[in-house]
Formats: sequence, C-alpha cells, structure tokens
Amino acid sequence: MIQTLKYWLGINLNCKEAHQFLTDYVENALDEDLKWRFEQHMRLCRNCRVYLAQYKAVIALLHDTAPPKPQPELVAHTLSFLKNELNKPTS
Amino acid sequence: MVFRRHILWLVYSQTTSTLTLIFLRVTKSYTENPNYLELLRQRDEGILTQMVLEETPKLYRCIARLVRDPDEVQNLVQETFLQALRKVENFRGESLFSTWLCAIGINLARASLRRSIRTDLMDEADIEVLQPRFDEQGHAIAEYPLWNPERGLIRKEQIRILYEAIERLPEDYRLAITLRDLEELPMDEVARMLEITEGNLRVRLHRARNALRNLLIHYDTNT
Repeated sequence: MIQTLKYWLGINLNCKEAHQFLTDYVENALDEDLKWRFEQHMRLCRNCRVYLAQYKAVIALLHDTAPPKPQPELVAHTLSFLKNELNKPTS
Repeated sequence: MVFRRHILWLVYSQTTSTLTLIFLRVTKSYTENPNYLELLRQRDEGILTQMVLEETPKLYRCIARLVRDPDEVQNLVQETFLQALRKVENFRGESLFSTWLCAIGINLARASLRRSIRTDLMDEADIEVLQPRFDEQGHAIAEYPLWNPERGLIRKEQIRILYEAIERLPEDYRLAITLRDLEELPMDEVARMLEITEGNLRVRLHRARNALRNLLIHYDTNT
C-alpha cells in the first residue's frame, strides 16, 4: 500500500536515483514508466529541478559552440598529399 | 553546363556587376556507388576526390575539437585518409564509412595529444570531486546554487571557459563530450567510434557534464 502510494507520488525515486537517470532522460532513453517516475520526482523536488535545468543549460551551451571549419585549400592539399604518398614505392 | 558529375553555373549579378561561378555537385554520396570500396582499393581518382571532398569537413571538425594546433589538425586529416586507403580492406561495413574514417582520425588525434605534455589535466579523482553528493537516504547533501547561464557571464566567455574545461578533462570524457555534445553525433555512432557500449558512453557523458556544470558555476559565481 505504502509502496503503491510512493509510486504514484513519485517518491519511490530518491534524489540520488533520479540523478543517475539524468543522461538517459535528456537523451530520451528512459522507458515510459521510469520517465514518469523521474518527472514526478522533478515535480516534487525543487533542488533536483534546479540541477536538471543547469544540466540542460550546459548541454545547450555545448551545442552552441561554432564548429571549426577547414581551410578551403585543405581538400586540394590532401589530394596532392595522397597522390604523392600513394605513388611512393612500398618498402 | 554539365561537367562530368557536376553542374557549373554562371550567375551574373546586375547590382554588383559581377559574374559568379557556382560549382554544384549533383551526384549522390560516393558511398552510394555499389563499387566504391573496390574503386577506393584501386585508387580511382574520381571516387578518391569525391571521398576527400565529402568527408573532409566532418573529419576536420572531429579532429579540430580535440587538437588545437591547425597545422597538426591538417596533418592528421591527411594522415587519416592515407591510413584509411591503405587499410580499406579492413572496413567490414559494420558502420558508416564516415564513422570508420572518424574513428581512425580520433585514434591519430589521441596519439598526437599523448605526445603533447600537459600538466593541468584532470584525473578520475578530480572528476569524482566535481560530482554531486548524496546522503545515505539518497538526498542531495547541499542545495544547488541558483545559477542562470543567461544572466551570468556573457555567452562567448562561457563558451571559452567551457573549452578550457573540456581540454582539461581526462581523454575518455573529453572524447565523449566532444563527439556527442559538440559534434552532436548520434549515440550509437559515437559508441562505435570509441569502441564502447552505449551504456558506458552515457556514464562518461553524465560524469563529464556534471564536472563541466560544476566548473562553469564555480567560475561564474566567483567572477
């Protein structure tokens, strides 16, 4: 009875357990039941909500970084490099 | 004008009075050629050129996220293509060809990083210190500081600090964060590149993200 109540209130998942599922949650890799329990814990625990928001913010910041771009001449240099190297006699 | 596998466009702009040449590739990817592996084995110039053209941007990004010296990145890109061509018969088609190429590039980048000596790299104990703490009942020991990345340091500065922090992460964590969160490659592709399970990758990502969050908040609230 208590276990069922805890389940429906989402308190059968403590902060430490919820924390272990953070990556699975943001990667959308939790099954429906666990996802519900995780979200229920988040609804009830302000501290974990804060952490989740910050965790997501770090990922957003990482996504926001500009990708390094190759110099335009790299393709031509690479093709010429390969031609030279591949034509070398193998020892 | 159709030139072999490309279309050449000549565009004249009346406002700037300039003639622009646009060279568009209209073919599908070289990997859609059913014989591309055989052609690469034979060093067919056409397919080789197509491969270098198509794969250079992704390969460059993967390597440049790990190695900062642009000359070294260029060398590693070229060396990756060379190694791939020399052992193309080892490619068994279990992943995309581009994933296989990036895996070779990453291994070369790792070797390059090991040659450059850094004294400020974190180790597993440093990462552990940056993880959140819980009591015996599994409750968080401390309240997390209210940190709003939108309100703290300017975004450019946050990204610079993030980069510095990523460079200090142990290699396994740095690779996971770089490929998944910076390059945004799919989980299964990253796991294949790093030759680990997806579960293992998620653990590395989790610990690395916790560490980065902690470092960023610490920096943000102390400046």
